[in-house]
Amino acid sequence: MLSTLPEHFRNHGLPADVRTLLLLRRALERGLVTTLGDMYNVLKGIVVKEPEHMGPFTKAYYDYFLHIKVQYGQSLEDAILRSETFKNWKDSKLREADEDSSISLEDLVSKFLDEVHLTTYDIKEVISGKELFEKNDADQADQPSDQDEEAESVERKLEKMADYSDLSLQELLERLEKIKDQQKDKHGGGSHWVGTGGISPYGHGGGAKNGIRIGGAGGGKMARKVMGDKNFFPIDRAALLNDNNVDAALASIKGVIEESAIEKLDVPQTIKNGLKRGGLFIPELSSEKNEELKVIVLIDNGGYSMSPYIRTVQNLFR
Amino acid sequence: MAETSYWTGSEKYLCDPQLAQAFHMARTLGMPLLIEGEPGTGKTELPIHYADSQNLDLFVYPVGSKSNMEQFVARFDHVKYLRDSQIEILNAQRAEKGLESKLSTGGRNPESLGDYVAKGPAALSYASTNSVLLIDEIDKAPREFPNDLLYALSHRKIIMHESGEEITVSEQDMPAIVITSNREQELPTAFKGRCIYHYIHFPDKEVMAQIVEKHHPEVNERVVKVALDIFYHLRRLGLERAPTTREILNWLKYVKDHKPDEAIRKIEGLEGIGALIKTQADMERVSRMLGTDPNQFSMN
Repeated sequence: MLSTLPEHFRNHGLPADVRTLLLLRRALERGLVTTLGDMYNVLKGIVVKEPEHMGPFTKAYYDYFLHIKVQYGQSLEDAILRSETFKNWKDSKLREADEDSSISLEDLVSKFLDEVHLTTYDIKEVISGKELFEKNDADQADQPSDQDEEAESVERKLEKMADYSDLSLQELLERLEKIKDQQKDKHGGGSHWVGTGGISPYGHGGGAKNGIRIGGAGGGKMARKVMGDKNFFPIDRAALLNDNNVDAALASIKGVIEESAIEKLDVPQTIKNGLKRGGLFIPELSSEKNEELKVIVLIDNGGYSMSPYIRTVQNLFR
Repeated sequence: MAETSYWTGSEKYLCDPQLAQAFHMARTLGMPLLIEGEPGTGKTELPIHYADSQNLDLFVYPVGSKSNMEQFVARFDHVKYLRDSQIEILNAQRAEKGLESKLSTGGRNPESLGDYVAKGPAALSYASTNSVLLIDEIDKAPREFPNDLLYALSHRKIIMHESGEEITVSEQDMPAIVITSNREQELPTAFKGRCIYHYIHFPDKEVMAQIVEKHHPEVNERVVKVALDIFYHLRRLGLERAPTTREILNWLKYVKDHKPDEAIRKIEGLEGIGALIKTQADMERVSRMLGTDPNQFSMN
């Protein structure tokens, strides 16, 4: 199950391996994953170990599970808009909800993100809000009938969601198996298991209806934010040192930790000297020396005395 | 069975849903949660408020530059042990000299080594089910400390060598362990691999207003808005040490005793900004940018 996942994530420079899969399996058994949004959260907790992993992780996730490739310098929205997955999702969505086909693309992307990042926690929140909703409904019994119809559809959706929140492990594995199959068949028009028969529990609607919030609490927002922020991507270590980045390079070596020799009790010397003193033992300390030097940076700022070395230094940093 | 319900914060603590989910996941999997993020974003507060609102026992281990496993797990009191084992001989000698009174070992028996073990926070929390263990600021520890923890975390077992005692917990009974770090040094990969990792993002204005509301509910809404505007403006200046949640809360604490209008005037006059700006260079920069006299910033 998902056996290609570690390799795929490693290609994005993330530390994934067999243990990732084992942990993921444990999380599945504990019922932590029932939606695609859960998958994002759980994998994030397992795989991401530094803030700089967030960007590559989000990229890898979108690529692996949704076949959405985010190109260098591209925003998540753009990547989604250009993807086959989104196109399929949009088509099926518009077909099902033909009455309001006037929704802007922007809103559609937001809805798509909401569905992708919908988590069990959100569903549970909605379900616990269900009682509240039923109570409200009873008060409004004498409202016009179309209201009731809408209420009914919301009711249905809630039931559908409730089903999803207690999927058994077996069913879940089958579902994931299905995803894998779709993945093999890449030429078959991309996978469209968001929205239709996939992990996401609802095919139509979305958004907020009758005051019930549906959609990710912030997963989508976070994914968007992470994509646009350099802080969540690793530094390119192969880049040339130039005027633009020398500041950053020097700043990174500024946080020098002071270390001095460790003093240790020299037992043989203590005994020797103690015996000489006729049994008066005074601890003798000796400092331990290790070769730990890695880099020496010498910076000569201004003047001409270093001019002969300019070429050497330039070569060094090339 | 340990507490594994989904916890979303208490009336004193606003838990961001992402963090709440990571925390829930860590507890469900019986793994420690490693939280990193800017200083002053409430990393340490999470386990404290969680334990408080769920009525669980909290064990705290504040990490310092001298931390080691002995303090964390259990310390064997060699001095006491030596003293007590000498007492028997002393008592025999005293009896020989005809002295009535006896020296006591205070109920400790030198035969049972367990009497001389002073348990540290780890041993205590592993022994009591359903507890919370906070390992605060692990990045301040000596390099080998995180590595020493590996066995205790992954095998859920603590061995106290001197007394030969072993404490084992099952995955279900594992205490909720929260580890915080300010990234002052890199943690070993093997250590991170055994934790669920979460990076706290700096809260945006909306969330910050809610956080302020939790801490200082009595402060006027308008005052909070003006203060937050300035606060986020300062953060955008790219200061050496950007002000954090802790600082804005302190600032509001300073102005909250005044009437709203006066408080706003004080905030706009940047009075007591020493609560927000912590270095001289930043202070000069702020005064240059905002064109005000740096001398008036000093807290009265």
